Amino acid sequence: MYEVYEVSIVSNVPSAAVSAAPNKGTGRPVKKFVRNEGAQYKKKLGTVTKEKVVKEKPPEISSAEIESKIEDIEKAESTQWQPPVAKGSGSTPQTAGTASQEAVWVAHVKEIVYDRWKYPPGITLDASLKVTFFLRISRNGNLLEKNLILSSRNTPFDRSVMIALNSINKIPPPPIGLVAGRNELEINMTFSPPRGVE
Amino acid sequence: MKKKVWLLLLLCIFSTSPALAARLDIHIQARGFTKLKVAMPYFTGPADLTSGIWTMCAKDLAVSGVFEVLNPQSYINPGPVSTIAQGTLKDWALIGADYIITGNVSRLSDMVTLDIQIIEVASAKFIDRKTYSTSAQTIHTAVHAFMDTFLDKSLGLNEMFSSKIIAVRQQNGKKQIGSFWCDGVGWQEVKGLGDLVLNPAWSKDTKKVAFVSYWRDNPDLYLLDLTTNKVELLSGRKGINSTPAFHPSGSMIACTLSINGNPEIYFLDLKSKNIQQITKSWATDTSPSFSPDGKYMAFCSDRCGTPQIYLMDLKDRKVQRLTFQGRYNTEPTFSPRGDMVAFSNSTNGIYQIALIRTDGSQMTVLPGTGKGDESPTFSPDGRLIAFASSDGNIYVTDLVGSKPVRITNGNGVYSEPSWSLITK
Repeated sequence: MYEVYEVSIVSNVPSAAVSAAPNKGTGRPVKKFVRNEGAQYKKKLGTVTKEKVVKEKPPEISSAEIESKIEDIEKAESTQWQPPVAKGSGSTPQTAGTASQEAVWVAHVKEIVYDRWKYPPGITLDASLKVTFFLRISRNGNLLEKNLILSSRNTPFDRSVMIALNSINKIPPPPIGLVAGRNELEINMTFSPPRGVE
Repeated sequence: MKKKVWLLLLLCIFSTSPALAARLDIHIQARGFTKLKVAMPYFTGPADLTSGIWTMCAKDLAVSGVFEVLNPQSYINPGPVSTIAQGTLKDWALIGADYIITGNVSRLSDMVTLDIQIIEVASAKFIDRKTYSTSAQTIHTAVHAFMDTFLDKSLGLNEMFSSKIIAVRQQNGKKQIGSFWCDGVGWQEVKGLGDLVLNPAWSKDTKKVAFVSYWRDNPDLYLLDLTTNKVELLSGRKGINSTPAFHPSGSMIACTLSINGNPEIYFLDLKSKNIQQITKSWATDTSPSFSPDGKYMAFCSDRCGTPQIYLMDLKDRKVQRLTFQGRYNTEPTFSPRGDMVAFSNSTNGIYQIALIRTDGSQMTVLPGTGKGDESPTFSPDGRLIAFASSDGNIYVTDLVGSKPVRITNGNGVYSEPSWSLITK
């Protein structure tokens, strides 16, 4: 009842050098390959004949290098930061001053993280995502430990945060009010997508 | 009573013990969107190969929607680099690079070898070191393999460069269909389908393409089997036979037929070729698109006076109007995640791509090219959208409306893109 026709698929697979070279004019392909088998469509990454996995070697660059650079920046950041002095006369309650110091310190830490965290637009529009990392900070501000404790179940979102945290080794020393009598400060840091993401 | 006081005191003492750490909760909400920065020095190797491969990599990074390539002119050494030398990582961190990609290209006869190294700056670690070998004509497959690996190892994203886009290309007065990889490389045209071919649509398994051809001087529906290259007439009924969309099951398509004069949406069984009328109204109902679970169908209808997007629950055939903004909303397409529908919107005479939630909320119009954008189609993972611009090219953008990346090279006028799932 129905007619059956046969067609051919003509492919213009440009050679890499011609098609993509920006300085080669129009970038139009110079070669034409006639392929009349549908299997061509099925061709995928399998056309890469061999993919040798090079055995992982220790990085040629030492992590100390990058750490020292980051430490330089962090040192500058931490020295710039001064705990706020409670305003007004000596009659201001000490607790108010401590609370203010803590708030300023938290705001400063947030700024450092904002500065490092890149949330690419091509990840997701899910506004409900939340990922929580556990951070352990020494009294002098060294980031001793960071662990993912509650995943957003969106790997790219979690990874974007992890990349940011990996670039932070030191933050300004926590104010005394937060570590008084303790050796370290633990933080549950929760991350969410930007406001307005629908 | 005294006992309780003692217990309370003990509790207080323990809770402030120096051995225990204080716990603080901090909430960080991202302030906006920022792409990850990639420093990719020009590759070392034969000049006739390296510039093309480097450009292809740079284009694919832009198409990915998550990376931005830092201009090599801003690097301390703007020349070709094959490996990151000892003691230079600081330099790359200083220019803001999150990743460094270096490459070396070599050629032996017709075989091209691409050695790639990727370093994550934050952790100062190699996240990938691989060698890809392929023929010079298929070097794009090596680049795609490398890109998919990078997407996975950096952000854990699904592969996308093994997906294809099928589209209509107008050239020399003919409109014909063909496909290319999702970065615009490797156009393959299907010949012999007539001079006017429209509405290509992928099957979920990417083995079949449904399309419309005026082969017999009437818009008829055909099915192309890509495994055999056989073309089969699906519907050559009198009037319009158009806008095919595969049901996720692969057993049937939805399409527009005007058997009784008025265009309505029908289901067409691919085995028996039997049809079943789905919409029934005085208006034009067209452009069906199934939700990924096959339970809903978005379509376009002018039953309220202007073309708008509607959603039908296929269980009870109840129809809900989705769009109320704009005088002209057409070409709906379901997101592979099933949570939203993209469509062409015209408010002031210029077409733009818009998105809306399936509950009818949060309609967003993407800025696009500003030249007139139509025919949206989602990437396999639903992160990106490809569309046709009135300048005759296909572009890719993300769902927040970042600057679109042009993937075609202007060689012909492209329209009606349809993005496949991953080709396996």
